[in-house]
Parts: sequence; structure tokens; C-alpha cells
Amino acid sequence: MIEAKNLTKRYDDIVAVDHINAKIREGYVYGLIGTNGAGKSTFLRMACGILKPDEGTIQINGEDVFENPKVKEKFFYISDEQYFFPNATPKDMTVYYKSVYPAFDESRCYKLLESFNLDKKRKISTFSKGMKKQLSVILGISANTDYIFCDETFDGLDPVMRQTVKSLFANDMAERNLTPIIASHNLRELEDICDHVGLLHKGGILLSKDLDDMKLNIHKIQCVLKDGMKAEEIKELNIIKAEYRGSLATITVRGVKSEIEAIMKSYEPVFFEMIPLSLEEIFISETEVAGYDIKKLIF
Amino acid sequence: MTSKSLFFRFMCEDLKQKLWAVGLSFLCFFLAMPVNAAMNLSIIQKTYDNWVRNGTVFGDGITAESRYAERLLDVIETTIGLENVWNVTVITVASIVMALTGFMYLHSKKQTDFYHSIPIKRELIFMVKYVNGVAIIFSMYLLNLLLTIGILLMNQIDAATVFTTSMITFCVHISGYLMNFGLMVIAVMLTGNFFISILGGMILFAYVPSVIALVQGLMYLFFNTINLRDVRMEMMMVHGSPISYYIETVINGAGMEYEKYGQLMGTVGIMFVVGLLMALASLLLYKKRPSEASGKALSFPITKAPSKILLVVPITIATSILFWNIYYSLPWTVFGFVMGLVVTHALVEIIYHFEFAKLFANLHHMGLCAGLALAVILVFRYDLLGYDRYKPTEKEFEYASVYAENLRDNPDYGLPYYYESNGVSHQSWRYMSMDQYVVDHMKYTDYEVVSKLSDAGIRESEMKKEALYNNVDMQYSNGYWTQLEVGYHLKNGRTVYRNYYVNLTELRETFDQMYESAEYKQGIVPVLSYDPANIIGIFENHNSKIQEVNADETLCAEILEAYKEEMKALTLEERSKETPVTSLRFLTIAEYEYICTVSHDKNPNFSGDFRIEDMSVVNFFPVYPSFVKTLQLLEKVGIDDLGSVSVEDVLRIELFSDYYTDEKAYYDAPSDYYEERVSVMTDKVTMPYPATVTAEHGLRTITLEDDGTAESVACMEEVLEYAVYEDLMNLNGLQSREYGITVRVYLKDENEGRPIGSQEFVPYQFHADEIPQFIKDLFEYDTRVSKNISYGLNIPIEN
Repeated sequence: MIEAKNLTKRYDDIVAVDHINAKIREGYVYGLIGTNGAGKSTFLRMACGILKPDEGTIQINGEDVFENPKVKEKFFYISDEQYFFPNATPKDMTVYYKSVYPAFDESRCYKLLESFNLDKKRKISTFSKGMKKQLSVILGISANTDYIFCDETFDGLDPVMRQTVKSLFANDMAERNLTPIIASHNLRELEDICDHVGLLHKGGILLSKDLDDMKLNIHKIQCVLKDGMKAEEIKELNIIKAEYRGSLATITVRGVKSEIEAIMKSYEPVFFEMIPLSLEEIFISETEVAGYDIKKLIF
Repeated sequence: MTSKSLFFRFMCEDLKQKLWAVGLSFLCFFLAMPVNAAMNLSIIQKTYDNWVRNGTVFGDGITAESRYAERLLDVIETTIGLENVWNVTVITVASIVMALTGFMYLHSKKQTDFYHSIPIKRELIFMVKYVNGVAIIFSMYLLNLLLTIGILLMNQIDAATVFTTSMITFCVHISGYLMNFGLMVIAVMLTGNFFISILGGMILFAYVPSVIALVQGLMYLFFNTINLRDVRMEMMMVHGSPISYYIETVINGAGMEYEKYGQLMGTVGIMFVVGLLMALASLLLYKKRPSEASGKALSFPITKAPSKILLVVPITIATSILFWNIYYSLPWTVFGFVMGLVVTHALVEIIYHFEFAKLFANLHHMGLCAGLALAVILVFRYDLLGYDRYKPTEKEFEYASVYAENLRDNPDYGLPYYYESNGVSHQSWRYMSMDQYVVDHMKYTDYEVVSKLSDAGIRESEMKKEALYNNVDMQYSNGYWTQLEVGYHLKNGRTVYRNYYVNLTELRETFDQMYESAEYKQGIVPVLSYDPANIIGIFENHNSKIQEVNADETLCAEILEAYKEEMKALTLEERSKETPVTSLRFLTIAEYEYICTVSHDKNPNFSGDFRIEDMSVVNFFPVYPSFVKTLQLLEKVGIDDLGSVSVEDVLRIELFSDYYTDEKAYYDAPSDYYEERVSVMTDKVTMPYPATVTAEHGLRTITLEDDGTAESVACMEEVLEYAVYEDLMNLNGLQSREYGITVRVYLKDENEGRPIGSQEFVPYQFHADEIPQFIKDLFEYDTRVSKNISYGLNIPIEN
């Protein structure tokens, strides 16, 4: 488990990460969301031991990360712009990482390179941005670490590759309990992969919750109520938002799905159905409650 | 994985990234050593073949084979020795480049993230990068050294010398490299940007020497008693930068005999320790360096203000004194101060923020810098540390060396010395200036006298400052002034040197007291230290004729003792009245052997400014008329004719006037070349006689010749009676002397039958008050306006 306690980092007068407390459990995909400058990269760089926290601690399995090679062997960091040696080929980088990560799986790396159609003897400097991202992910996966930190890794990947990478992660999660921590400014990118999401804003965590929890507690109802009836009249529902298009009402409510359904039925609407919320909608709802306009923070 | 195996594996991986450095350094050393050696050996072989083919003769005892062997030995020094400047250049440049490129990743966020996220401790990353930075260069150096050694040994060059030279050279180079590399790595650690690192490196390498140079500049500008003999500052300049220290070591070692190479080991040890300390400092900085420093100007925010102050303050002072030296005006000095301050401070701020708009950020720092720079200038301007007023207390004082420029009496002094080279003993000659002799030999213990002289010097210095700062000319009191160099030797072992300018006339009693002391004389007259047992002969010189005194060992010793006794008793009063009648050289055994060597092969071991013809005129000491005993002994051995040259022996006399006191007057005067015969009537010459007067630009030349008349002979006799042989005149600066009139006496023996252009003359000069009247008339000479007179102690005192 990764645990940040009161984690703080300042760059001169700017507080990049401001007393963050967070727990990242193993075996789940943790999404770190926030605008540019929210502190995602700084958080990840502290989690990797690149930066030393000014205050607080960040630990992996109860041990500080900074200058602790044993802990560092447990993760692989893919930065937003991964460094490769000048004139190096994927093979060179494989050999290098193999000398650094004790559990590095060289044969798997070559297989993945092949399946991703990346020539292991071609100079990396001739690769496209997307190809470099793919290579980073392949090297990261092959490092066989418990955690993989991805900073804006999905940027630059085409949808097919994105899905492939996601399935790679899913496979390793299933097989060896890999825990990917993915930082992104794009909610849609993380929607179908994250189990737990932390929203960073101005260096602090606005919220950190399991996606399922959020989904279980918030629902969207599309319905046509009896003539002249408004959604607000259904007092039993914890309505967050109600919108109307003619007689069609779209209501966002909190609560347990079965209870909501029972309440709706008791009011005998002309028509109603429960529809799933996108991650974006869940966030909008959650952050609005917290008094923030999420659209200004993320989109 | 053990840390040891990880170290080597990581080192190998890092080495792969530095293959360019391996190739480049190999190529540089390959050209500098094996290729250089092969080329030199080839040239030497060709030269040797030519010598053999042409039957070249080198002189006694020197054969083509011995000269060839000598040249081969030289190749060792210029290839694997310290005289190989290419190696020094490659190693110096490599230390900078390797440090910059080895740790350049710290300037890139991308690369820093890469290296600092992998599961390797930072110390290990540092060690690998550091060791590779040194190992790459020195493995290539060693590889080429081995190749060169092979080439040299194949040419039958002495193996022991080759190995000794290569080992000591290797030690000097690696220790020098470690220092330079270490300091450059520190510069990289302290900065976060490539160009700032280069700038930082330049500052670190040059800062101490530059600041010392600035302090010296301030001292020369504000202090009057500054003395160049104190070499501590020069030493600090050399020792203040690893590059200068390394190069100084190489220079010292380059001229060293192989047998004395061990003496370099102390310096090598110091460089090695400093190199290691720098490596430790770099490691410490690396550990403390925040990764987020990449891309910033300075890695440690805490160093920003001190670095800026350390930079801005000296530059502000430097620009102030620069403008003062150009314009000698306060407004311009203030302009220099403000310009240096504002521009440097603004530049540093722009660099710190990488933003032009920040040029006036942290103005309170600028104020602090201004205050500090002003404080430093004021410390020097008002001599708040009392440099010019320094005088040791009697308790501190042990003895002093006092050198008064105008009291010296033997301008040319030197000693032969031996030195070893390639196992062969060589001789050379070392000139010694009298001030150096005094510094080395005088131990004058009378504090009261030294104190009086110092007080007078300090007074003059203060008056000079006051005049300068009040923008008025310094008014020197009437009298005979002299430069004075005092070396205060203190009981704590320190020696402090000061220069003064004092009025000898006013301090006459003090000078008399000092001059009559044995301690002073012993320190100023080398002959007083001569041992009769070391004297092999005596030579006498007057009127340009040097002759050996015909005396046996006993008589030589007697003459030496008499001379020493009378020299010790000589007073300033006597010197102010007496002109030396001759001069003596007491030839020591060492000098004799040297002259024999020089005369034998006519190929002296040239050293410094030595000229073989000078050997005949050096080390002659004056004999004054009051040296009665010495003169009697000389008379005893037949040296009794010490008067002037007889007219019968003179072909002609030429007198030149340098009456104009500056070059401008000479060129402004009309070109009025003429030649005329004039008749002269003086008190002594009662009848007119013909003399030839020529003139150009107003400067006249008089030629006197014996035309068979009594008048011409009388005039020539009068000139010869008063003119003094220049070498004797030089031996006593305390008598008056007219430098504006020179007399050339052409002797019949040496010049009859020779064309005028190739004739030789004996130079003479007049005392200022003993110029024959007819000469004054012909030159239209007026003592009152002549600026070429030195009156010595006989200066007329004006009320």
C-alpha cells in the first residue's frame, strides 16, 4: 500500500502539493486527476523518490521511498516524457533496465515489443511520440514491479493502443496483483480503467473515492412524471440536480438504487429508467457538492 | 544483487553512453604521445645521420653519438614527461568536458527523473559517473603511455629514466585532473543549467586569483609603501585555482632533473588530497541537491544571495578603480561604481530568474552590495588597516634588511652555481641585484635607526596621499632623496617588506650611523664575506684597462683583508667627497672555474640575461683614495699609476651634450646641422685654439684633437683631469654627476689606423661642479637649468 501523510512540496513560493493524505491500495487502478499544475506530477515524483517531500511522508508498504532502493525496486515510473539514451534502441534500454530492476523479464519485453510491432533494433530517436509511449509501457510492464506509475501515459496513444495497454494492465493486475497509478488531466481517459480516483486541485486532494462507491451512491433517472408533477415534489429522493426537456426529466439523485426505484414506482410515473452516470458526471456531481465547479477544474 | 556487482554493471552501462569520450581521448593522447614520439625520433635519427655523413664537429669531448643520446633523452620529456604541453592541454580540457557531460543530466528534468527514479542509491549513481569521468581519460592516457614507452624502449632509451618520468608525470596529471574535474563537478552541482554551469565553472576557477588581483590593484592604487617582494599574494593567486596550481606544478616539474622528481611528490600529494576533498564535497552536494533544481540557475536557493554578493561587490570595486585609473576624477569613479553595481546586479538577477523583467529584483541586495563595495574601497582609501603606517614594535622586531637605492656602490654582482641535469653537472651564472643581496644577507639589528627611517618613510607616504587627494603637487623638501626598501624580520618568523622614499640629507645622521655599522656593511658589500682561502687572484680595473694584480696567495689575502678593513671603516662623508680611483675584483675559485669552463668551450650554459662579455666587468668593488693601506699594497705590486690618461696616449676626445631634457624639445628644435671651427679663450687656456663643434637640432658635439699646439694639449689635459672614468663614477652615487654631458676618449693604441666608425672609446663623465669652463661655454651650459644633474649628498640646500 502507498500511503501519503501530510505530504507537502513547495517550489520556492509555490505550494505544489499541500498536505495531502491519501492511501493507494494494492491490486486496484488508482487514477490521479487534476488540471495542469494541480500537483499530479509532483505527487508522483515524490512517490517515486525523485523529489524529497518538504513536509510529511510518502511510504510504500510502510517504508519511506526517498533514497530507498529496496522500495524503489517495487515500482516503475513512466514520466510524461520518458528519457531514453541518445542513439539507444529498445534492446539497449531493455539491457539497461534489466541491469537495474532485478525482476525484469527480458523475454516478455521482447515478445511485447514484437506484438506491438516495435523493432527492438531501431533507434528510439526515430520513433513517434506514441511509439515511445508504448515502449515506456512495455519496459514498465516487463520490469515486473508491484506498482507502475504513469504520468500522462495515455496521452498520445491511439484508442486501439490505449485499449491494448489497458488490457495489459488488467492482465498483470489479475496475474500478479499489479497496481497502476495513473495521473491524467483527462477524466474520459481513465473512466473505464480506474477503480479508485483521487482529484487533485491546487496541490490538495478534493476527494478520493472508489469509483464503485461513487457509482453506487449516485444515480441518474430519466422519467416522464404524471401531468403537472415536478421532480422536486418527490421529497423522499435526495435530488442533486433536475433538468427538463419538455416532459422528459433527468434527475441526478443520491441513494441506493433499489430504494430509488421503489420510490419512483410509488409515484407512478408515465415512464422511468435508471441510466449509468459517466465518471465525468459523477465528478461534476461530487465536486459541486463540495462547492467547486468541476468543469473549470478539469475540462 | 550485491552493491559491488551493481556498481560495475551500472558502470558498464554508463560507459556505453560515453564511448565518444573513449574514442576522442584515445585519439588526442595517441597524437600527443606515440605519434609525437615517433615523429621526434624520426627527426633525431635523420639529424644524426646528417651529422655522421657530414662529419659535424661539436667541440671537445662531444661526439655525434653523445649529442644523439642527449637528444633521445629530451624526447622522454617532450612525450611522456611534463614538457609535453599537449598532454597538459588535453587533460585540462578533458577535466572540464567530462565533468560537464558526466553530470549534465542533472540539468534536465527528464534525465533527472530517469536516474533518480531507478532503484539505485544516488551515491552509487554519483560514484559511477565520477569514476567513469576519471577512468575513461586515464585509461586512455595509460594505454597511450604504454605504447609510447614501447616506442622509446625500442630506440634504446634508458628504461629507468623512462619509467621514472612516466610514473611521476602520471601522478602529476592524475592529481591535477582530479582537482580540476572535482571543481567543475562542484560547479555543475551548484547550478541547474548547462550554460550557467560553464559560467559557474569559470567563476570558481578564476574567482580567487581575480579577487587577489583586485586586492593587489587596490593596494597599488591606495598604498605608497607596497613592496613586490612579498610573494604571498602571488602564491595565493597560483594556489587559488586548481588550473593555475596544476600548470604551475607542471612548469616546475618540466625543468626538474629526473633525480629530483621526488620533490614533486609533496605537491602531487597536496593536489591528490584536494582532488579527493573536492570529490567528497561534490558527493555531499549531490546528495543535498534537490532534483527539482534542473533547469534553474542555481541548485540551492540559499546560495543565491551570497553568490550574488560575492560577484557584484568585487566587480563594482573593479569598475570603480578602472574608471579612476582612466580619468582620475571622482565623478567618473562614481559612474564606474554605479555602472558596475547596477549592471552586474541586474545581470545576476536576470540569470537567476531567466527573465529580463526581473532586472531590478531584490534591490535591497543591491544596496547591501553597494555598502560592502564602498566599505572595502574606504578601507583602502583611508588605510584603515594601517598598511602604509605599519612598523613593528621593538618587541616584535628581530632584525631588518635595509636597502637604500642611492647608497649602493657595486652595480653588477653575480655568482656561478652548479646544477645537475641527466646526471651531468653543469655550471651557470646567476646575476644578483644588490637589493636581492641585501634581502638575503643583511641582518641589521638597530631598531632605533630602522624606526627613524620607517617614520620618515611613513611621513612622506602620508604627505603624498594628502597631496594626491587634495589634487595638489607633492612638495618635496630640498635634499637628496632615496628609495628605501626595508624588510622587517620579526621574532615570529614573519618578514614584512615596505618601500619608502626618504630624504637622505635630512636623515644624514641616521644614515651615517647605519652606514658605519658592521652589520649594515656586511649585508651590502659582498666582498666583506669573502674568505681569503677562496681567493685565487685579484684584478684591477681603471680607465677601461683590466689587469691581474701580480700577487702571491699571501699578498692576495693581505690585500683582501686591508680592503675589507678599509671598506668597513668607510663613511658616507668620505664617499660624498671621494671618487674611486680604481676597482678590484677578488676572483673566487668558483668564479675562476666557471670562467675556465666558459672560455674552454665558448658555449656557456646560457641562463637568464647572462652575456659572456659581462664576465670581465662584474664583481669589481671600488677603491677610494682614503683606502691608503690597500693602495699601498697595490703600489707594492706595481699598480701605482691610477691617475688619468695621458694626452700623449689620446687620439681625440669627443664630448656630447644632452642638454635638452625631453624628446619633444629635440624634435621641436630647428634642424640646424653645422660644423665650425671655433676659438676658445678661458682662464686656463690663454690662447685661442681650434676645436670642432658640430650641432644638430641644437645638440652639440665638441671634438678635441692634438693639432700640435700647446693650447690644444692644455685643453685636452683639462678635460682628462676632471673627467672620471664612467665605471668608477658608477661605483659611487653619493657624489655629484652631470649625466647630460658624456665624454668619449679615443686612445691611440687601440684606434690608430682604424676607420672612425669602428674605433673604440673609453666613456667618462664630469662631476657637476667640475666641468671645464670652456666646455660650458661651447655647450652654452648652465648648471642652474640642467635637469640631468645628480648632486648626491652634495646637493646644495636652498632656504
